[in-house]
Amino acid sequence: MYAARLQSVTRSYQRGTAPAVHALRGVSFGIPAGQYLAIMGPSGCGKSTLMNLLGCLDRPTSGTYELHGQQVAELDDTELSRVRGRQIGFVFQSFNLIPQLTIRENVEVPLFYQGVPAAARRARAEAALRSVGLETRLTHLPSELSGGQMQRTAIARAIVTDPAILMADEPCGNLDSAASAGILALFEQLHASGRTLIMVTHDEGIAKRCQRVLRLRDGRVESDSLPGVSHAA
Amino acid sequence: MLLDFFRLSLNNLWRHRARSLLTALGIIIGVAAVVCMAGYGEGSKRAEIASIQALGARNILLTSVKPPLSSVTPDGNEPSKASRIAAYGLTDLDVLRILTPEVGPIERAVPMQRVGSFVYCGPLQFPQAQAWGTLPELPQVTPITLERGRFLCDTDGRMLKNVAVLGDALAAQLFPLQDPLGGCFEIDGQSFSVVGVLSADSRAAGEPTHFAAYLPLETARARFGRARMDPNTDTGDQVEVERLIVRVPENADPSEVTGRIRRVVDYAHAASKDVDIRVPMELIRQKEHARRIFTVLMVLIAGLSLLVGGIGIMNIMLASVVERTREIGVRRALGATRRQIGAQFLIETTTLSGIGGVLGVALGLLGCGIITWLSGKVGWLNPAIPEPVPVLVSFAVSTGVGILFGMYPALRAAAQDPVVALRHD
Repeated sequence: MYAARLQSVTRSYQRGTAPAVHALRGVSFGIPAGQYLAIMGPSGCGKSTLMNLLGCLDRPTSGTYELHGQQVAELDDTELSRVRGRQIGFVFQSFNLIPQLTIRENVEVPLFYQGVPAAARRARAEAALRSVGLETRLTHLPSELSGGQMQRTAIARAIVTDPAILMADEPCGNLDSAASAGILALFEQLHASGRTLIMVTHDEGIAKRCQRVLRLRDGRVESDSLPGVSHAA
Repeated sequence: MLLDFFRLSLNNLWRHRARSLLTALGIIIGVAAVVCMAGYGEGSKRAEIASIQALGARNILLTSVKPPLSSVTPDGNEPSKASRIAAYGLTDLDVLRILTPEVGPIERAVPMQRVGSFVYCGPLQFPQAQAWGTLPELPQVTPITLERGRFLCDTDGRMLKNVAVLGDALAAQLFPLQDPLGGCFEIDGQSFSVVGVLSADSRAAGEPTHFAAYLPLETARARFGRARMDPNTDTGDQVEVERLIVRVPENADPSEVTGRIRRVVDYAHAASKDVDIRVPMELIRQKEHARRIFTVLMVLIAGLSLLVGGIGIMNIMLASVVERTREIGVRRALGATRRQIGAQFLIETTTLSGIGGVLGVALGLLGCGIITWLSGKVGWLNPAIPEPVPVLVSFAVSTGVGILFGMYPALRAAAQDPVVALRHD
């Protein structure tokens, strides 16, 4: 069973009269549920575009994208927002915490948009923060935390809605090696608990720890390998 | 959900409280100005109407006015004594014409005739005193109440009795050490005895009666004649009826009766213009009309100031949308719909302007309190009376301005593409 499946997906950008930019030129692959996948490739290869499509932030120009059996192209903007909120958790390179909110309030944000009552939001946010080891930092502001702690907060925010898919865009790009190791350990733990993980990375070392590595070049899949089969659960 | 958005807005506004306060300042000042102006307008209106109502809402006041007089006759000679006496004003004939049934329903018409030049009590002269001949019905057309004794009666006039009713201050001056009732004093050599004293708040034709002495009209005419000399200029006035207070019945319109009276009076006085007709009811209506114009102007000015305040808020909110573009992107990625993002900004703007409205009302009420306090200290200021309607309207308008001017920034925020917004620095 596929968590996500792309078939001949293209994405072009047309700005004014300039010639169209083809960021993706026909990409087809499937991601089985529970897989730990790394997407690699040089800059400009279409990684970000692919991540935006997979994360339902954007829709393909042509081709089909099926998420848990649902055709994403058929969804309108509001439904896409719902899908993002309930089925996908995002972790960004630059953490993207809301600076004026406390750690707990940041983790509550996705629940807020699902209409979860305040008391339940609070309890679930605290549980998520406990699972990433930040239960003592609930009322701190993001600026009072280290990079590793901020990324842990972002992970707590991504898993608080209990999504099936976690998407991480260079999650260790702004972290030192010690913090990176902690974050990767956390990812492996989440993967072990059955979540599908999709990670964009530049780091071959990180990629090696994944079950599957997808390499992109010029908007096409260049290679699709399974180096970390030993890791398969 | 709405409550959650509201709490989120309060949270956001509180984190930037200095900026929020400055943003709302336009609204605060606008609302406070409206509340103060409306309060002062209301207070002024009440003070004016109170002073007009002292004239009597059902009254028509006719006053003889002295036309301009040259001291030198056309032939260049010193004017003779006869020509130094100016004859003008209402006549008994005019009064008779006014009282004909064709003029319309008149409940009562009471003349007042200024008489005498010098008021003495023993060797002391009282220059402030004013002696008037009038009818016993005067208290029925003007708010006169007795402190002691009685007012004039029909018999006083018929018997040409030398009796007088005094204003409170004049009574106290004439008879500082004895009971004024039964006391005697002199007007131009004629002796009068006091039969009544008026209360301090009495008013005749809108004027206080403190220094008035009221005599029976018939007595006054018999003793003093119709001409009254001014001892300083050696000129005199000959007026048959100096003032006429006409009261119309309750069911009649004073303006209609006034129109007919004016026509009757103009028959004899159109050229000389020596009769002034005042209708308190019309003055009240004029005041109310002027007040309505004032209100419209005020609403326009208030609307302008709120407009300026609203533009200020919109400006800051637009800047805030740009500043928080990335936050918008993050919220969209985490599941917020366009509608939810728009609602958040709209509610934030509305909350800001609503709080501005509350602060403005509070400031305005404080201003009204200060004006009222000052009006007790200085005479030329009226108290400011805040009415609930303008207060509520200005608050509602300020909140409405927030919704109106919050709309555009909210749409801008909602229109952000999440992919682009997430890349924004």
